[in-house]
Amino acid sequence: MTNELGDAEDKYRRKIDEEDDLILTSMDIVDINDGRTVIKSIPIKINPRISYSGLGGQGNGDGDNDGEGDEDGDGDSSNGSGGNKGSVKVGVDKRRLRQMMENWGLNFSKPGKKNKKLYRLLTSENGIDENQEKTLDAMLDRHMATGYFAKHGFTVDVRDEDIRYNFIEEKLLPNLSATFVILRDVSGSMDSYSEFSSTISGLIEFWLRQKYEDMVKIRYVAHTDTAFEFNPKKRNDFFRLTSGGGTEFRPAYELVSNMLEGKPYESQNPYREAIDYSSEDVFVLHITDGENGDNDENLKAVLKRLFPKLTKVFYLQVGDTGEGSALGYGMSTYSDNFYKMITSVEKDKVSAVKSGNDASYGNVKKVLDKLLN
Amino acid sequence: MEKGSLEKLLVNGEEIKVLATRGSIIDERYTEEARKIAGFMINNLGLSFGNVEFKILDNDEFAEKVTLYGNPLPSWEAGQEKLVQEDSMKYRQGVLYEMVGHRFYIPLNQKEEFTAVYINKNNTYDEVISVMAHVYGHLHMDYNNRLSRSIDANSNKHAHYRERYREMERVLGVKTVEKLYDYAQTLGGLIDLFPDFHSQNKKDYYATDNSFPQENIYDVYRFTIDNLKLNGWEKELLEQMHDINQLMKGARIKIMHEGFATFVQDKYIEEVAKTDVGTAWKMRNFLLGIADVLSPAQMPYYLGFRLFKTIEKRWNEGRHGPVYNMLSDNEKRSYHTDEGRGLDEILNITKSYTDWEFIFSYADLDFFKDLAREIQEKRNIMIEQMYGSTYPDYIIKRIEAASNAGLDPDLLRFQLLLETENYGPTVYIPEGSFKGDKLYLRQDLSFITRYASAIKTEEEKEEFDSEVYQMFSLDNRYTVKSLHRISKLWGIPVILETMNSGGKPLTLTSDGGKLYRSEKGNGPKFSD
Repeated sequence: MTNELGDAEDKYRRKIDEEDDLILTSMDIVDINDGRTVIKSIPIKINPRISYSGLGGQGNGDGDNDGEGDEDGDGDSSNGSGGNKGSVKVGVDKRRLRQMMENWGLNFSKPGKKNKKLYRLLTSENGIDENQEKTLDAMLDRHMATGYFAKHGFTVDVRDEDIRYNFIEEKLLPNLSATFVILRDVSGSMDSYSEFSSTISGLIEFWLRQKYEDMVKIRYVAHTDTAFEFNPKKRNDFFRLTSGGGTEFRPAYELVSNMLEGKPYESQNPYREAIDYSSEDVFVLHITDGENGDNDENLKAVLKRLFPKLTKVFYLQVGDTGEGSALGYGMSTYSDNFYKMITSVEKDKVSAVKSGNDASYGNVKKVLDKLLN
Repeated sequence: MEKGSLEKLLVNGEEIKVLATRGSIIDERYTEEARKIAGFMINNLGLSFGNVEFKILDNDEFAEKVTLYGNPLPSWEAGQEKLVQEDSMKYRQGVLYEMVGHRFYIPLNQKEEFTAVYINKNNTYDEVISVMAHVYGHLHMDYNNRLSRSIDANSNKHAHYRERYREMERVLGVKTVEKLYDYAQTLGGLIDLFPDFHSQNKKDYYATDNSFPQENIYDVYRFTIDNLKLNGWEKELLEQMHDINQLMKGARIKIMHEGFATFVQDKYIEEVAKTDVGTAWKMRNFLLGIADVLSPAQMPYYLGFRLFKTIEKRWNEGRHGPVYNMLSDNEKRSYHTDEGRGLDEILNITKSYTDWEFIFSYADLDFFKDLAREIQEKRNIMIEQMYGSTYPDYIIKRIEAASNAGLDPDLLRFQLLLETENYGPTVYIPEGSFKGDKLYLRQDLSFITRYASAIKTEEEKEEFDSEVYQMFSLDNRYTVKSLHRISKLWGIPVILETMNSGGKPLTLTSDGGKLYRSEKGNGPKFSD
């Protein structure tokens, strides 16, 4: 097959990424995570030209367009020659989603600002490097000893015998598998954020699966003022759970702590499996609106005990971030308290972000950018 | 004469070669068939063309060739086009059977030059053979039609453009190049492709005043290249795109092109029917599936085909000329001479006519009456099939009446002539309007006068005017977006004088981001 068009298709794909034309729902992300290809249909992009308002497609002769017809009348002003030109069908699979996230600035290979430590853990390799300084020194020594230097002065003339290598340093290898714990606040006020939470956690799940080559276990924990583990086979129901009652964060973090230490905890899953944090990386995502009805000091003690065992904590606080908050002042005081506390416990391990209930492409991009970089 | 299975193919005394290939291998069976058809076309119908290579391709290769035909540069638009083509072939929505590759005019004596013809292999054997016959019609038009020969579409040149485009991308980055590409595409609508459609300049040769430009400029694209300060690469890319846009000239002979190819295909099927009726019947069904009178996209095939058939019959029987026209209807019906000049007349038409001339001179009102009747009959059969079992007769009569209401032969002819003359708005820079601080554009409606003169009564005139205003107003979002783009490219405000859908003058001014509308100024007039 000839390849005269080259990467024209990739250019088009990059364009629709940048112009927010490709929108993935949370169900699409679940499908992609399960290894399926999702077919999305995108309206054709047209370079605008000065054109008539009323004349329809050139091929057909019915001039029965009434008036302006802003949307429809213009759409079919392309020639009628090329068959039907409604939309382009684009398949999105794992490879493509990865490419998209890279286009958003979420790197799978380069260190970001906050996760340098994490990056070092995940990507460190044992390697051999030439040491330039030592090599030049050795070369100079040889020149001195042979009298070459006295005759010719400093010239670079490196031979095989001069080359010196770095010591092989032993670096930490990343663990081969990971556990991803999704903590979700299911109190009544979280009702409207289910689609958004599902999208974000699905994308983080995808990110982890790419890092650990699908060796990722997912654990679902729901909490109000009590906490329990949700059956992992019913993922979609997890994001639709709602319950009344107050909200406390301590039981949730205590449950995670129990999971890690092998202590008993409440679970819908018949198999209560402890998380082996010594041989696995543990990631926690906490989605809540930040309303904590608990004593902060107790919670801080729990967090201090828990965080050293974790690899990374993502904290996503949903709710109206601006002044026009529908629920008023009460919420925002709670929010700030916990947000400040969790970011102060262990700075390197926590990445926290506040976001409105906006599952649009741009916002998702922004949230993931803050959480993962 | 590799196989030596047939006598030599001679066109005007020169031998030509015909090949069919799959990849790098010569397909013997198709080659033999192709040579057989070529022999029939040359010897029986008198067609002429040069060396041909039929390339039988798979879907995705075919999609790439189709894309390169219209978008020779590897831009994002080409990527989109390829995805669309692949889709439509995968789901068999808009199937393309053949495509004749671009060629510049190759003199017949250059023996090693082949015109590439791409054929989609995912069809039956009979279909491919019948499509080959169709292609010879296209080739004849490409080699003989005056307009077709003037289109410079050398594929080597396009390959060079592609290479340069990639080089620009490497040095300047994809985004920089793409931005200018988009601007160029927008400007592409303002090239003066058909200078004979608008009123001509009467240039005062001895003009001494300093006004600029000294005559109305219809090619705004060329004006931009000449007068805007551009970098070398920008100028080169704009020139390339200007050249590529010249391919659009081909739109002017679309009906003739497709019609003649279908006509020739039909002739070959008649030849096949002499020996093999079954195959001919299959081929005929296939042809009627393509040249479908009810599908707007396939209309050029049917219209041209029908018209060529009519011409053949009329000139074979001598039903033309001043003597015939003077007869009464009854006499006309019984008039018959053995003139037998049908094919000659058609070959003459293909040499120099364009669609508009073709329809204007050969499609008289009788032809359109027949056409309207045919469309009506076909529609009624479809309606009967769709609703016949569910609705009573009087409702079906009503549906039929409603769907056939607009089928006026006069109107059909009028619309067709208008369409074949008008391939998008004509916009010009008026004489003496450019002083460097703003770019002033004006819509040209002068072609309307030719049609307006046929209107007699006041009522008709009012109706005509209101329709014209609705159809030819430029007040829409695509125009606005284009004005913004042109303004950004030039760095100065752009003003367009047009009319709104009520016929009132409308002036659109863009400063690159904002649009100002004003109902002052002089809008376009028919009498300009």
